[in-house]
Amino acid sequence: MKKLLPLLFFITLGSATWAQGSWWNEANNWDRVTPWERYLILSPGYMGPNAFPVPEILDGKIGQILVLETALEGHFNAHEQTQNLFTRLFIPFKNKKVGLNIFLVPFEIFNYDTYLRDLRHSTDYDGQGVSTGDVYISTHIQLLENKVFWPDVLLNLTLKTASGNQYGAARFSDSPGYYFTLSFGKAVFKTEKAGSLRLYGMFGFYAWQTNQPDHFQDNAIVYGLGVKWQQKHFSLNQSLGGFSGYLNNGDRPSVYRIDLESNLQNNVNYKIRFQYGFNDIDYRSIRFSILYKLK
Amino acid sequence: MHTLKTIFFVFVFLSLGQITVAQNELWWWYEIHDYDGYTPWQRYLIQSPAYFGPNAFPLPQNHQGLLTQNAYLETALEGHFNTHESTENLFGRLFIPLLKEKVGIEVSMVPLEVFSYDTLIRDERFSRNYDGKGTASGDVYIGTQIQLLKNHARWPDLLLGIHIRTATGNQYESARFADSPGYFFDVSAGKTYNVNNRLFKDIRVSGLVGFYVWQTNLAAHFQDDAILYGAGIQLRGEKLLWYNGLIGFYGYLNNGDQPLVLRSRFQTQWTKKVNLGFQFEHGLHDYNFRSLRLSLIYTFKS
Repeated sequence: MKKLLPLLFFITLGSATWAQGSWWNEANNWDRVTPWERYLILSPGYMGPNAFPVPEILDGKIGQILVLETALEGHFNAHEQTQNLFTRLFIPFKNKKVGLNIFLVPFEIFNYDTYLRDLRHSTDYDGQGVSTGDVYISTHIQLLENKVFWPDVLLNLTLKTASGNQYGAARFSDSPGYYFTLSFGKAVFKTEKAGSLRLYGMFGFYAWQTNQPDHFQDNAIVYGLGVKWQQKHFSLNQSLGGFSGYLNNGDRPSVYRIDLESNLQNNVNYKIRFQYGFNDIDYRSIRFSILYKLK
Repeated sequence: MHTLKTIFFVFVFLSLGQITVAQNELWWWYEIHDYDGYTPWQRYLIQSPAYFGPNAFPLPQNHQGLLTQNAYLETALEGHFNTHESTENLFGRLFIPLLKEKVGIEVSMVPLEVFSYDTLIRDERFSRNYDGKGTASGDVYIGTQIQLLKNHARWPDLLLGIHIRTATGNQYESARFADSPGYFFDVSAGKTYNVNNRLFKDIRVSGLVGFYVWQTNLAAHFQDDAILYGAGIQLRGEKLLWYNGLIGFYGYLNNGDQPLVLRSRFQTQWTKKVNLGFQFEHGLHDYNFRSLRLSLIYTFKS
């Protein structure tokens, strides 16, 4: 009996230890060697909608006013829904040639089914929770402006911090990155009554860490095209853009965006955005923003 | 006959084994590091200043709270030395003011380094470069600098720096560059006091604090986070600047990620266009190098 007791104790302990992560081990066919962190794929196709947002398709012109944008956002598909806050602060410097743009998702609530959970190798059993996101810090530099023949040219240098949490739930990638873009834009049509029509394009380079030994980084080409109709009291902006990574592991998202923004003469404006994700960012997203002019 | 056949097969297998070993030029690395047979070799390298070359995690510059007024290009020859290693490299830095005395952008890099280290360093760093010799090119650093405060009666000048470290460097396998992006933010503060004696016009006292993050690629802690700190004193004469200071960062992993250096720099003020700089660095902790830098600084017209 004395011999049986320790044996029983060890068997019980063994079962308990196995049970702690057993569903994940089974679902992901764990090899018992590789840490679970390495099973997650660091790409837009295998993370939440805010982990690798497609960069803003800029129109070649720097913002002129100090503005704080606060927004409510939702991302939906058949297997997931995410609601989040979004905050952006743009600070133009005195000469209106340089500006600092800081944005983040301070808070998101997510809910996904077991299909997505296992596809993403998530360790979040019920696929529900809250998380906070990465901070992006950009420097915008106006290289060319108001030339007769040449378009306006804007350089954007953006740093992606690794401040997001819930890596285990595949919400944020816990990896730093950066992207550099050049955007071009020119008004092709302008009248007092009809407003102006601006065509623009953007290309650049995006790099982020994958933590994989044979390719520590994923490198992607950033691209985008758009058209903006600016009226006296509102603007309508449509763009198509994305990035294309070289690993082809869900790293080629592209989106279509349509923005309707008020242009009221007071300090508060409103914006509504609809985004349709293609390829590796399979979400339909909507964002309601309030833009406060601070100065 | 049967015995002859057996001997023949044994001979064939032994020869085949010899060929396989000879083909694998890195057998020495697997032996030295007691390779476990499954961990990728990349994971053996320790991503910290003490286990990489001197240019992998260079200590940032203390800008002393002040944004440079004019655009300048600095090109330099540099050497880093200790008993087991010598590295010589080129260094380049370009500063462009975007808004005079308010915002500027700084780009710096080591375009080429020639390195040579002995087997002690090679094995300590898990390098796969058998003879420890070669050339490498480094990461690009891009920093935005913003003047937060200047010429205040009581408060010191304050300068904010936001820096991206790209992962463009090569020779990871030789433990030269970390192949990992990073970023650091720093705020430097400085105040000038007039002395107006025979040798020096004024003295500038400065300090720096910040936060440095880089990727480690380790499953348990993907990033290393470090507190950046520094302090210095600069004496300004008619034709010469002399800066002395300490700068370092303090990582939380304690795996060689707490470098500290003593830096002394002379810079001429002979002309408004071309000047010379001479810098000496003495590594005090987790950065075991004595370094010299000879710079040519070309200032562009404002």
